[in-house]
Amino acid sequence: MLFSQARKRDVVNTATATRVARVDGFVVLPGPARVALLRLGKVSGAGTLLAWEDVRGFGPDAVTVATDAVIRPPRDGLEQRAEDNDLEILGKRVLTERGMELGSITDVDFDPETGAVTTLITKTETLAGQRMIGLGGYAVVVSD
Amino acid sequence: MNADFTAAEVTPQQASRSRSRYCARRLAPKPGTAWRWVGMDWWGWVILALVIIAVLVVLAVVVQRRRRRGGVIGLSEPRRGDSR
Amino acid sequence: MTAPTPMLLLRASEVTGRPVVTLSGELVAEIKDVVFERSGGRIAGFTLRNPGLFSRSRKDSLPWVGVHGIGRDAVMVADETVLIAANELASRKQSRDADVLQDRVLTDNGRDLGRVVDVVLHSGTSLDVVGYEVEASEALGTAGRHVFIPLPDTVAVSGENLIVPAAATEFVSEDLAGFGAAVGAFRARLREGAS
Repeated sequence: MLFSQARKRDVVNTATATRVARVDGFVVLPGPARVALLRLGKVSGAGTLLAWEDVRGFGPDAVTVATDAVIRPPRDGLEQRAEDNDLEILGKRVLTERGMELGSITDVDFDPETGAVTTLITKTETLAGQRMIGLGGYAVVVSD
Repeated sequence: MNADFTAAEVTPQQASRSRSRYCARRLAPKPGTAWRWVGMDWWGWVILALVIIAVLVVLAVVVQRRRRRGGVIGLSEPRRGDSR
Repeated sequence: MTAPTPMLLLRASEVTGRPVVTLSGELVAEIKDVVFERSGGRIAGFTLRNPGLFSRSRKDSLPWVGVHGIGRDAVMVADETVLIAANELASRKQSRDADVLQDRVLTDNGRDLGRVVDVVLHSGTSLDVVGYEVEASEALGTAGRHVFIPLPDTVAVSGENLIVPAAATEFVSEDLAGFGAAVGAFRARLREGAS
């Protein structure tokens, strides 16, 4: 499933059967490349992050959670940066470990079952998710 | 116009015409070359200030460019802490 | 370096300003000066500057051993721990006085070939200085044009002037593309002469 398709999906609490938020973005972490958190919008509480472990199902129409309590504020510096959009992967430049730029990320393909990132897509390249070795404020670094 | 007139003799029209000119006359009672320069209209001072700021900015950019410009440094002797 | 990069010639000025990026994707600094050893021409490392026109100067530098990969768009490092204090690479005095840009290139028989406008680097398993780009003097017949002068494997240590063997004038190139071959041919000639 592509990030571009999965964005704007509703987050539904299965206990109350109500829409509690909307998916605004994805926080990808390397080693192995995976969706670690979802960034949410239209939330009722203070928190905007949802850990992948707390997602019950990533379905074609909605993302389900067991309780609203799993939607939480950042816990550490890394999550704070994720919430501040500093680690947003879409639009970030891709550098190889030898220092060659391969364009910037236009979309990401991931497995909605596991959250594993399968493919990084730029305007000119499709890169296997396993090649991703780092993601920082400046670039996504991929192995040669 | 009287060379040593006081503030009381300035009409409201004169005062509103140019505050800086009014102040300048108080400070420089004797007319001369400095009179005309100090008595410059307010926009003259603004332009002068802008020119000074522009010159300083250009100077700062030139100095920074020079400071940041890269070089190629040739070391004549082996360095301390060189492992090779 | 993890693996040898393909043979590549590049100018030192192209390296200046390149971002230094960690493998975790964070921008550390930008390259300021290229520092090389005059004997052998090997690159010892780089001095650094902060990005942004009005940024403060930096007290650290990047030794060549800390470089993970150097490419067209960035210089990659494992992380910030590879940086060393700036004066361990080159002292302030050296950074100020030992810059070869604008230095005169003289042949060992005393001909002035022109002023250095750039330095040509060869990127392989290591990064080495292999030639000077000079604004040619009358001595070269292409006065005023920029030409490339090859250097021997061991660059003569010198003060104000850079000395090259007179034979270097026979291997001058006008473009960087053909310069790699010229450096090879020139060095082969020097080795023949020595044996």
